[in-house]
Amino acid sequence: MAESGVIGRWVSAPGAHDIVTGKARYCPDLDFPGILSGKLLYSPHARARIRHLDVSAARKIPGVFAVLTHADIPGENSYLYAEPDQPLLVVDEIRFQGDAVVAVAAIDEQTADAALRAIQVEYQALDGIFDPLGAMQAGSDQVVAGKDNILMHKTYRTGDVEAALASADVIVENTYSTQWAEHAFLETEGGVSLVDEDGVVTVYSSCQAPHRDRMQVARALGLPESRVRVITPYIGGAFGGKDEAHVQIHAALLAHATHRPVRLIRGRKESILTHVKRHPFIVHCITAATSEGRLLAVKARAIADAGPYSNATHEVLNKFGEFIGGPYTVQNLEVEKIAVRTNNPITGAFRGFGAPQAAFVYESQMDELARKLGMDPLEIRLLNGVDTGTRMYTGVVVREGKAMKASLSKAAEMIGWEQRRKLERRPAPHLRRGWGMATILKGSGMGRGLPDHAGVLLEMHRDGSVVLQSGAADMGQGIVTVLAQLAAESLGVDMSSVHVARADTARAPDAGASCASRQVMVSGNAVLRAAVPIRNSLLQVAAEKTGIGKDHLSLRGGRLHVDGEPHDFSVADLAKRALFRGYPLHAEGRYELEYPTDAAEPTYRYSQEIFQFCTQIAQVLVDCETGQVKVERLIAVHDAGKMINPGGVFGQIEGGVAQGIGYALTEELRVKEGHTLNASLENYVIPMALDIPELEMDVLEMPEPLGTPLGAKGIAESPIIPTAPAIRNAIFDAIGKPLHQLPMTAERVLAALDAP
Amino acid sequence: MTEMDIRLTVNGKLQHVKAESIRTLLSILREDIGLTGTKDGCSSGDCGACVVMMNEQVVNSCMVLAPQADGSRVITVEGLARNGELHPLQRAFGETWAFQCGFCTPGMLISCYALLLSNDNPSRDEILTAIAGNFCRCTGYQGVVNAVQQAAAELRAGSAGEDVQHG
Amino acid sequence: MQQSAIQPDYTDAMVTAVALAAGASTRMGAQKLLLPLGNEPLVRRAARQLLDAGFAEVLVIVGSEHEKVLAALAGLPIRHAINADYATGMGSSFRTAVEHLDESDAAMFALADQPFVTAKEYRAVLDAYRQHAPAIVSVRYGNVTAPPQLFSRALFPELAQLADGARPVLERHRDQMFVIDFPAELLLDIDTPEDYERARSRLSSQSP
Repeated sequence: MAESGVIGRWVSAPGAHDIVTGKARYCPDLDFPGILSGKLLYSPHARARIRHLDVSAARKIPGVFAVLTHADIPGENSYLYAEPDQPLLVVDEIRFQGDAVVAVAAIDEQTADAALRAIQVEYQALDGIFDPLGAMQAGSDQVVAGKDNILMHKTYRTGDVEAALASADVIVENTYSTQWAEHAFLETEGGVSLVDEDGVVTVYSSCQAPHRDRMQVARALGLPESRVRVITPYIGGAFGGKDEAHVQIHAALLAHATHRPVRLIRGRKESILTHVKRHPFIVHCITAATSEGRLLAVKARAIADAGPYSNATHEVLNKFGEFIGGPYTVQNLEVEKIAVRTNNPITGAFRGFGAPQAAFVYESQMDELARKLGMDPLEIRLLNGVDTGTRMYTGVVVREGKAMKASLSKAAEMIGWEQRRKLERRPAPHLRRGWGMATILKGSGMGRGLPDHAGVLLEMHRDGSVVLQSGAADMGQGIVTVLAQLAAESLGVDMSSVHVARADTARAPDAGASCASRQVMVSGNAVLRAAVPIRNSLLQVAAEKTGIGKDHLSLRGGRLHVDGEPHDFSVADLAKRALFRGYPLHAEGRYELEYPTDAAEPTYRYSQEIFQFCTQIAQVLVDCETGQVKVERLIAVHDAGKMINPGGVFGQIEGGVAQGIGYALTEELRVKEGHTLNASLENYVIPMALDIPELEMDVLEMPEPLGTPLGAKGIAESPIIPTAPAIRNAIFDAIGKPLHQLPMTAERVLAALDAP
Repeated sequence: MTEMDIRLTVNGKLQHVKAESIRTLLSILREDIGLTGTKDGCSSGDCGACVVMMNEQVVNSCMVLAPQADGSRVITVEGLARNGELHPLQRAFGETWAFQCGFCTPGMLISCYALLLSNDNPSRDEILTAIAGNFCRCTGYQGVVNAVQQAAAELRAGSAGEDVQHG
Repeated sequence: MQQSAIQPDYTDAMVTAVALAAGASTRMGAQKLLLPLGNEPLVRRAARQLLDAGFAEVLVIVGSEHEKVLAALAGLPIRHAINADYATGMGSSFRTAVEHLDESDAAMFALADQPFVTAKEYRAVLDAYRQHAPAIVSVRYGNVTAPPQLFSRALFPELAQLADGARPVLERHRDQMFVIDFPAELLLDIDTPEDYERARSRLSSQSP
């Protein structure tokens, strides 16, 4: 393939024109004749039994077209992410503030609200279970009757941790805790559903996994999947929060019941109260090292609050455990992973998926070790960092590991690590300046042993224009742009000739969910595969018409090139001729991420083997009177393998760091007795334009050898992971006191200052 | 709830709407006039997705009630392009990757457009102040700064007396 | 596999009409292609029908008694190619044709001894290719499949491997075939003297 046509260039997103003119349609913008407004009724209790439910009055209100209870669900009354434990509409027991009881569809929002108000529910409030530590105790009341409150309890061990601890010269032992965090995607959850002329239930879904949505909708409706169609319109952000289904199934139920189009969009407060959050963790961690600073052992016990339902809890805990040793050579490691059911908010996927919590722990531990040993934080990390060929504590052999130390060194150079002390550390009596770093790893892909594949349909028309059908949801992370670039480059046309259709299960093969930073790898490779027979047809025609051997022929910018020089024939000329000659111009590409079987199998189940290494360094200014922390500089060095779309990569890093700053300092859902107290964007404090420093970013390109397109490895999650620990370590450096709790609010900083 | 007659000029065009006095400008723009470019991110004036220009001021249209909108001149994202030609800001946003999911973009564009009406060479800090009420969760704000400075330079170079038209 | 929804306009496709006129007529006794039908040799009649059907060009494959056959075609704007191996079977004629179709996007192969297939029928085959863009256009007379058959260039390599007629290629690509139905009575090829007499009398009873 000819290099540097559009790959690696700053190109505009194919949807840019739609977005900047306001023409891009998201779920709330979709309109169909006769569309109804859908709404859900929730309980005012975090835990309650439903004694009596009477919807008859609501049904009688003029303009109300449907009032559905669990009894009206034709198929299965459960979401089914990993387990079918969360009901779509509650049968008898409310288990968290966001459990839906009734779904209504009415002529407009006001009437829908009136219907909700007319529903009579008699609740018997129950004592909720809000403390995971208490919920773990034997004899505790069960959150889900018949199921242990301990949803998961697994331990992974490698090496001999006890012996290593016994022989260690230095030990750092702490308990860390992290908070519920809110995705705060700007477009709240929504679904617009209708039954088309063929009786197919169509759902426009603001989601991350259209094919999985189709399965879930079909299941709830009791229909075969062939009678359900899911389409993703423009999606206003997700970050994992729309991986689990939200309201799209309810929208489909209402459309199916009324035979009218239904639009169900959550309000912001409703969204904060009801959708999954990042798991809060309590982690007790012991890290042991030699007097030279070599890590000997890591022993961690993590307790995560799962809320009442499992959602992605198993997977998040497993991902946490997979990375708890950090990007370091550690021979002896034990991680005990415990997830507990409570009546607190439900928890699930959120960018990083357990890795941010792990990084906060292991990078804080590294700095405390460094301090105890009188070592420089950079030095101790370089000493222990992985390299290419390192066998990790998961048993995974790192195929491409240069980026770990390269990102550390580069970040240190960018901030001027060696000279940092030259800058005034006490610019005023109450101000303290400090520097801190964090280096992390995150994997891309579903993990060894899990299905990880995508298909794509690619077709060139007689005028050289190209249509690409992919089932990959683009929530803003930019997969559509990357696929368009790959298609354009492979087929030798301009990006403007490539149309990437919005993901549509009726047209595109399954690409799996947009999660785990995987789409650029699996869907990207599927596009490259699909392009091969089409390019071959074009070059075959070119060879036949010119009499020149294919070795001398290439396609670029919509034109045939002979030995690099443009030829008269356009790609459109070749396409037309190929169609006349019966050479195929359409193909399906399919790619399955396969792990090599040459090396020994990793010992940690479903481990990822394609690593996003990165380092972030923060320079902070702490106000010791108020506890406020200002991030003055933030350096971020990330390895992307290969940047296909630089604009998208830099955007992902910046957006992720902004989220990381919030996770570090201010973002926290305050939950009391199962109720979120600050369910608004006013009170859930997210850093905005004036709170974020100008990022200093660098992207390394160390191509991933394991079959990724051009070496690209996905960069969606790593940006959010090192930020909080880097800031934490900078505060540690500034005030000399450690913090072990997120977020590091002003109160907590003051408390740390006061601590002995 | 009293229904009232509302007249307002949106992107240069006079609109007559019958709406209850409790309705917001945002919902009138989206539902009655059909301009769905302006978005609802929170309904509480905290996120800036609903930002429009009203009578030369940048406002959160989700917090403007119908009676306040009566008689006003409003500019939304749909009013930035002229005869199909994108405003330099719109083009710059695409080129500098000032957005990813795009949901904040309409409001962000208006805040930036408003800034450029009164400041033809804004500094980074001035731009950040102008967009302090526009929340972006995907992309951060550097791309927006770059876009505004690029558009400002283009406008300065091309202006030579050209009126930035609005309303 | 999804088909393109766009119906391509194929009017500038380069389609050659190939007349297979190389065979020896063992049952006829004489070279049948030289027998008069109407007021011209059979082969000249076939070539003229093909010339009138709107193809980009006509290529005639000759073999047995090729000098005489070519003489019968004198003055017509046709190309020709000599199949020296005609005795081995019709496959050799397909191979020879493919070697002489360098510029063609597609080719329709017709027998030179089907006197009742006229320009009108040949044009229908060409139009079917132009409208429906199939890999193959084949023809059925009642329930008999017989030439003419049109193949897009992608299938030329397979045609070059044939031993005899094109049936194996049709079988292999059944799903990519567009079939046209012609009246059964058009299917009369001339293999025996009786066929020839029947053709002559039928032709003279038709209006010219």
